[in-house]
Amino acid sequence: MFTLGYAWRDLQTGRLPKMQAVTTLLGVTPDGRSMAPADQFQQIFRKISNDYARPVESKKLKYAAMGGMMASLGDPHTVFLEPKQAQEFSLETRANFVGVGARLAPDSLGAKVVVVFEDGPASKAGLKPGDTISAVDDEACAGKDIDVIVGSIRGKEGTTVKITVLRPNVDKPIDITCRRARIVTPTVEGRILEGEKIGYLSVAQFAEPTTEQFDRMLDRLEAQGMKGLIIDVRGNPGGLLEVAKDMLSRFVERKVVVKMKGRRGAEEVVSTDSGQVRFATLPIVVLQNEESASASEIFAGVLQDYRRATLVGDHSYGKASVQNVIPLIDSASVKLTIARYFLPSGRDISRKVDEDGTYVSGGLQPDVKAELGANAEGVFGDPKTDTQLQKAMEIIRGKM
Amino acid sequence: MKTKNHWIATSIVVGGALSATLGMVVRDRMDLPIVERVAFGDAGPLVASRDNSQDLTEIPEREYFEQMSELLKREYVDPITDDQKLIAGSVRGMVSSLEDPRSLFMDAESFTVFQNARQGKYEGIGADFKLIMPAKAANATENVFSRVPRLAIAAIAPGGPAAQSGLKPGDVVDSVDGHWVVNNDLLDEFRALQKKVLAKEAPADELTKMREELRKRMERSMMPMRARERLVTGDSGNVDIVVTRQGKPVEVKLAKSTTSVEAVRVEDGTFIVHLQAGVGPALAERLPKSGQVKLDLRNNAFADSATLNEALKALAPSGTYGVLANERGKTTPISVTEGRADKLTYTIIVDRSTSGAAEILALALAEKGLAKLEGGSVAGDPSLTEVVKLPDGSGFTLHRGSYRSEVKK
Repeated sequence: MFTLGYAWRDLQTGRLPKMQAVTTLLGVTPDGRSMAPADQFQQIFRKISNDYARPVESKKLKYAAMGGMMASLGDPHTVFLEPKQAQEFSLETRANFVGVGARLAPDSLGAKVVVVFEDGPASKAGLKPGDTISAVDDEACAGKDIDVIVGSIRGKEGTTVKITVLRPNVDKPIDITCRRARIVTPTVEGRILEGEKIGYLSVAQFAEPTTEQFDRMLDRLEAQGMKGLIIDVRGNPGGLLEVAKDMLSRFVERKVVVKMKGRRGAEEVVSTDSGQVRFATLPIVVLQNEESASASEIFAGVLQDYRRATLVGDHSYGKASVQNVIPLIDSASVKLTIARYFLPSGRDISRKVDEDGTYVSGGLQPDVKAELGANAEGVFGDPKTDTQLQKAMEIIRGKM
Repeated sequence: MKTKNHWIATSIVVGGALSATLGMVVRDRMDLPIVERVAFGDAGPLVASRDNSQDLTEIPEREYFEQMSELLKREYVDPITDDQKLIAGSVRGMVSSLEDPRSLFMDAESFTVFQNARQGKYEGIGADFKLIMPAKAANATENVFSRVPRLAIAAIAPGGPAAQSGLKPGDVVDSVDGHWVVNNDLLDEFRALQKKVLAKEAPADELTKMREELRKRMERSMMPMRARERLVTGDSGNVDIVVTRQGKPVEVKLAKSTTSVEAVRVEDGTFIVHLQAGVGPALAERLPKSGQVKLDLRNNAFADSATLNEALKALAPSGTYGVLANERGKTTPISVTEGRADKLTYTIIVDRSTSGAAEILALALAEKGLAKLEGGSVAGDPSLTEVVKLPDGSGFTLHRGSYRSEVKK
């Protein structure tokens, strides 16, 4: 009876099913005035929440609407972060984490250990680069997303995690137990490439301690008789502009780094310092790829614009804008583009994508294109397998 | 969101299957703020400050929309003048969040094409498509791929390019003009192979080969909705399609053109019906006064409730023909008023291309003893969908419920 009564009322009011082919929401009130955008939005919001075949969680619908609204601006960097994402994001923008101190890459069998940080818990417990993590706390890693594996290794400071690794030339899996601790990520690594006078220096991101780590590494390479330098910013997502500028000041003096143009028309120019140049003529190759973005592109682009370096690799990401994160009172936040920047030559490197987000154009184009061979996967910086590095070495030898 | 700056960073390298897949759709990198946060003195009540950041009050959707659009207009790098674009964007977001292949948002251009097809005017290859959501693989991890549906042909417009080329309802589209139509199946296969390799049941180089294959395909790929758009729009030019039919690939080359489908066409005494606006009057005019009539309801993938109502009214006497039930426990009778005075009976030809309103029509008439179904089994999706048009010409479909005969409780 209840069902029938309910349905009858619906039929009387003509709510379901609609007796017209298309429900037109014209954005006008019954008396013909045009509705305010917020009212139009509410009308559709209610239609979906009331009429959809399944129950709809209104908070989820509201956040989806905000995500869609921001996506409609067509800027991949302007996004709505729901409370949970917002929290994760703010955690990751602080540079220290609780973990075991290692860097991983995807691997068919789980995750490959690429770097083990000196003096970190993993290093003390005996984890080695080249190990493949096959299980974490006895849970198999094969087929899992790298982020999921990373998430399971992370945890509360002081707790322990059991990592099972497969090591080349060792028959049985090895169990390694690490105590999680606060890790300050080393952002610069480097060495003199064996048998040559080529310095290889990789910059993982442009964070606060990076300039100091960069200088220290340059000292070390210089002391070992470096005659040419390869700076690797592949996979470097960017970071602080200030840091990129300081690092550029080691190579070029009082030169424009970027011009930033914001909404309110103000143009801000950032230039390198004077009196900080250490290497005015040292041959430099910068290695970049599509994962090099933001401050990485400024670093590489400025050196390219002043003909101070040869760019080798693939095109870079094409991030030419500045974002701000605005927290909202329900713990969600908004990340939106507030300014654009231009390299000294004034060129536009902004990334263009098609509707599916697939790259079409943009980014810094390398002077010498080099692809990464299939075997180099996962590990950068090995002259035996890293074909982009091999190309960079070939070019720098020609300049030395 | 994909971020790449964990302490234990994911040095994702081009060529890795995972990086290729993850990097594709959601490509957003971590942006360490490159400038200091600007002050938000006049930011409005939605923006958190020291005083209210602990306040977890739920903000109603209307206010949320209003304040968010103000915030965007004030802070975004480019001026924002078009409110309709913001509204359409938010609707797109809401409709997508339903993750329902029957509820789809379409921009103004696609919506026009969609509406024309509902009037029997097809473009492109002359076919209707449906999206098939992937079955969630056991033990699969959440990733952007796991929700990508397959694109399949739901119905073919008679006489159109697809019909002439031999494409069939049920064909699953694998590639369009050499672009792989992205789907989850290959990734699932890849995962399965990973497990085998781990258990030493397959050699590791098979995995390398497959990863390379995945990478190659991703380089030239297309999302399903975009592939659909390419297939249903345009009246000239050629298109190459590869479909899977009964597990085997079939390659078809065809020329796009327009195809007109009549609401009712009588061929050898059979009434070939396309559920579209005007189908009711067309049937009423041409049906005999008594006897047994043969109806062909194949190639009817989609029709709205108004069309269903007019068709039912033309075919059946007044009465109730089952209910439309939704998953919120709400049911609504499907009723005919001022129906036929006489009582025709029908033989209805159906198959897998009979779905939605057409399927409801066939089932409802059969349930009442007015029709006998023959041919094959129906699609198994007797759902009714509402079509909503927005002021800027875009629109969406909204799944409302599914047919249920009255007898069942």
